[in-house]
Amino acid sequence: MKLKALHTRMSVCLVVLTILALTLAPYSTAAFRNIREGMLVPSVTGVDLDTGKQVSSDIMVQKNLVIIMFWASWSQRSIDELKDLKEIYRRFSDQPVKIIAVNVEGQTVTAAAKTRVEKLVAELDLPFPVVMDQGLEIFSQYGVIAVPSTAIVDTTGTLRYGPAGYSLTTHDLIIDSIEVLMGLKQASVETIVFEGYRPTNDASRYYGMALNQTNRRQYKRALTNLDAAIEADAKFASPNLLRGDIFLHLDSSVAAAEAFAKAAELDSGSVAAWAGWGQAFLAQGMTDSAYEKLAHALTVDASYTPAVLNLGLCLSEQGKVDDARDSLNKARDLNQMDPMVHYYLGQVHIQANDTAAAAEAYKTALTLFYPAR
Amino acid sequence: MCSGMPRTKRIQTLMITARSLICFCVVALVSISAGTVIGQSGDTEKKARRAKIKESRRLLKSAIAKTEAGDYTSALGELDSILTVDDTNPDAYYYKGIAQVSTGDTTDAIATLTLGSEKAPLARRLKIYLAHLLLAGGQNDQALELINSVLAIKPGEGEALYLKGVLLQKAGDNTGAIEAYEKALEVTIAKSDKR
Repeated sequence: MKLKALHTRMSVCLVVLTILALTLAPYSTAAFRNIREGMLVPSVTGVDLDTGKQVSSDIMVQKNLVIIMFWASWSQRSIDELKDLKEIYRRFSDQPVKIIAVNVEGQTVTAAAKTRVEKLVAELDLPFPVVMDQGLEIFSQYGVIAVPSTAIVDTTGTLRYGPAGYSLTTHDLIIDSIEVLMGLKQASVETIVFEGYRPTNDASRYYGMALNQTNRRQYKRALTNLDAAIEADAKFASPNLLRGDIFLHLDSSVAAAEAFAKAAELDSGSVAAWAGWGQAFLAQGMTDSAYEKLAHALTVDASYTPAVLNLGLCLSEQGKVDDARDSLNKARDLNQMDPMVHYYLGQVHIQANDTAAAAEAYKTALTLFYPAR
Repeated sequence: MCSGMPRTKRIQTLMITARSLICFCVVALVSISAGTVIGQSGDTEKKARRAKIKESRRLLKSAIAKTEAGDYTSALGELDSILTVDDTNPDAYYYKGIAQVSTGDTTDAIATLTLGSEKAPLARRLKIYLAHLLLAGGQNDQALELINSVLAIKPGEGEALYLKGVLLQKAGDNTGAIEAYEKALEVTIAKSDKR
């Protein structure tokens, strides 16, 4: 009985801690699953919606600090950030600072959606290029987690700062980062400009190939290249993380857990590693271990949707329906355009015998799968 | 044997053989020429049909590009040209419907898609789009009829199951809606996983 009471108390504490973490933790971290600060970023190319000219981040980074911003017209935060970037662009107009806005409207962009984006871009009168990421190729290369997300890339093509989302403080942090990177001011405690871990060139090359192969679902080849990347640089965490993702895709949750554990050991600040580890435990039905890892992931980054989502699924497995609903509602608020979040939310509503809410959540999921033409 | 045959008889036999040969040659020549003519006319028809299909495809490709670029008037002109020569082309009706909706002519779009669904009764995409428009306009019974006709062709059509769920939910049948939605989600998620 005492043990049970202790377990209940511990569970309550963990839930409270998670809620605190969700409320208090900063929102400006871990924008990308596939790249971390210190790593070279994939190139962004496309046609500028306004001028029709070809745009390439590779050319821009040769002489400029480049801000790459991922946005969508359905996200109000994106529109807020675009407006602020317009002001930032003017503020640094005498400095070598360039901005590219990458529209990530959805996997398939309908004619209506394209018209909506073009209209919005014209209305905002943006002084920097906007490209559309058809088929979400750039989005997948970066592994964008939240929309909007921003990448600040230095003249070596290295990611220096990547805030996810757009909270009240992100605007100031972007300005601080630019000023520090341009040498206009000294880095302070508040300034977030990460040096990160710079892997060896060979490891970066193998990892880049593996990323492309993973996006094409060539998992066997990707795993070979990831092994080569790890051999070339044993301290490089990202290949372990990607190995974990691939093993999860292949339903090898034990191997996935090992890979994520290694990634977390090498980079304890990688929210994706902790969240992946939790997900791998969840796939094995080890809900207590899953909960522990997911709760830890949320202390690193409270807005990391996969962690919030999997925590909801974990709580649902544990029969804690109300907590599961809270967590999945939070995941929905963080990423309203992910149909799977609505699908899982529907399942939890059914668990709670709330058929009206379940029908609504399922309907939303399907609306996202089948957008209006 | 011939040497024993009288001369006149031999001449008669030769004459008969020669005549038969001539007749055979004439018949053969006539048949060959007739065959060539028939073959030529068949080829001409095939070629014309192929040219028509090729032109329809070219026009459709161009009309889709124009629709996507927002040039609906030109797109509608090309789609009408396709339908003049091929009034059973489901894609032409479908894109014409889209162009008409984009220009605000939803009533015309419904008429176009209704005609298309009659002319090409197996065209699922066209019927689903029409069902969306009918649903948005509150014509739920007609929408349900269309959805059921799509599900009769393909019971695992995700978007049709989704629309059926929407209709049931609208009618207050949440349990029925959930059942339809779950089926729709099952096929849709499996399809997106494959991709």
